[in-house]
Amino acid sequence: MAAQAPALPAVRLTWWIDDPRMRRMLLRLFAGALAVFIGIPLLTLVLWSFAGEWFWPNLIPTQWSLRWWQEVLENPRVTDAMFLSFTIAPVVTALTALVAIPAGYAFARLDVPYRRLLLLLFLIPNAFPRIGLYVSLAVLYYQIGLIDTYWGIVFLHMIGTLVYMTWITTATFRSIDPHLEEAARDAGASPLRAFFSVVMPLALPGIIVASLFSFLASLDEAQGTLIVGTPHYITMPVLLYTLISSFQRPVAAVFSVLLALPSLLLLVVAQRYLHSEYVAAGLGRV
Amino acid sequence: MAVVTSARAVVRPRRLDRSRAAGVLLVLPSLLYLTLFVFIPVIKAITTSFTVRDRDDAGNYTYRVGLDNYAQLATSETLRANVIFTVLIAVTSVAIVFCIAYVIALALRFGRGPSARFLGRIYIVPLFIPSVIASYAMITFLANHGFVDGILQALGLPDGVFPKIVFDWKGIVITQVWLSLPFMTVLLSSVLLEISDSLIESARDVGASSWQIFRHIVLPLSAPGALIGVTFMFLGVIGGFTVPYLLGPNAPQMLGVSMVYYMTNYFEPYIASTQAVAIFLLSLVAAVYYVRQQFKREVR
Repeated sequence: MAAQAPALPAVRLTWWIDDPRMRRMLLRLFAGALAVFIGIPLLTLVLWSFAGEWFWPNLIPTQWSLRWWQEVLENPRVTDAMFLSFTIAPVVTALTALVAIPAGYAFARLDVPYRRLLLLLFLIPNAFPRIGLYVSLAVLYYQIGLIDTYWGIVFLHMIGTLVYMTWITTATFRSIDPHLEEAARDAGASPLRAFFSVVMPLALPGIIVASLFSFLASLDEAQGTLIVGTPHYITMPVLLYTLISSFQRPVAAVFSVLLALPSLLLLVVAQRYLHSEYVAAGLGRV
Repeated sequence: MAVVTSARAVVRPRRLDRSRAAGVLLVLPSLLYLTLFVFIPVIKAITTSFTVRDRDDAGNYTYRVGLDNYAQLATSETLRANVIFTVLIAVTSVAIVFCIAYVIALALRFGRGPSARFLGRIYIVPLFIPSVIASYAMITFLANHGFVDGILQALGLPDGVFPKIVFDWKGIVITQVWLSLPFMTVLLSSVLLEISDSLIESARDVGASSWQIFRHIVLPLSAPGALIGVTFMFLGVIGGFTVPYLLGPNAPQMLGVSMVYYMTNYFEPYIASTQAVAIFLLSLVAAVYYVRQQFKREVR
């Protein structure tokens, strides 16, 4: 009666983590679910862009057609928006590089006074919720006449790209051995010559990646451009807002595929250059 | 830092002076830009939020300093609901992304085999999709009479059981999760890479189970870095416009949407600025934490 019952083995809810077969199966399931979650919405969009006729609940279009592509590419509003987007993005990228590369070099190499405070200031734009910043900027634009102008949009796009490129170039310059530059200087090269023929070639990969991302960030920026650019400066993503809201499903789908192409091209071409640190440094397009 | 500077000052005093001057010169343009297009607008938004515009009997506007805009934000049923809605959406999305991204990051760090490699290829894709397109893709995917609804239909479920996801809070959360997954995963992966293999192996040698290793080593060690990602994403969701504008309900609205409406549709820069300041205040704790931690990581 009083004999002690043998202690039951503690039930471990986590036994499956140590079972390799179970773990492999769960991982496979998880990967499959994630692929469906990420891939199928994009695939639906591509299907819609080639749909001649697609009535719900058919899972694929009942008729295929290139008619929407033709309609989109012949629409002057679309071509105007494309032209505007592709004239803004290079200017944003060039101006950003012009301003951010010197700053990045100074932060990495020179004795900038109040360096820590300045670096802190460079984090501020990331610390404010973007839309709050854009609305504040729009209020200022109204007062100084930059609202609904080309340069107003360019300067707005630069908020994100400048901070990003400054951080990337600082990290890039810091990773280059300072002795190389000093050797060039000791051999009689001027500071500019030493920079352009020794440092710059080594820093180029980092700068190119940062520039590509700046270009894409400008190309894809929608919310800020909508606030300060309407009604006269309609870029591609801003036009997409209108197309989506007007429920022209195939037209918006074609346009989406068109707009996603540059980024996807980069994903394919540049995947091996995409160090995770570049991405983590602040690209988070959330 | 101070030691290095003084040592160099002894060796080459002239070059140091020039280096300081050059440093100032090189940083100046970007500092000027940030002042004009970030710092001044923020200060301007704060002062605007304390400005009250009154209209006298003759129809002229008079301006005074006051808290009326904030009082309106606090007392207006709609605006208050918007504030709460925004915070709830942000917290929910961040929590879900964190859990999924952590699993992916763990699989990338410790997993071997084809499934882990496959995960490493696909998780990054949303990073390259602009948020407008992602929102639209989610609309076609999740709408009533959308793709998922069609699959349920093909499986024989009756029409109308599919819940309302698009134009509802669920749509915002799912799309934010989709969009933020790569960033959070990249960040968590880099944090997990910093945990040394030898530490984990030694824990295993003394008989720790995988769960114990995760619970007592991996999770605590990754917490500070992970929090950077959490705060950054929180700031992103709270300051987002595109996703709630395209996929959110008409009421309550997220602050980003309501702010833009007040700005561009109602021409009320005062209320819009007040909401901007409210958004800054709501995210202040996250912002301070983000800046401090990122600063510690970057400035060594």
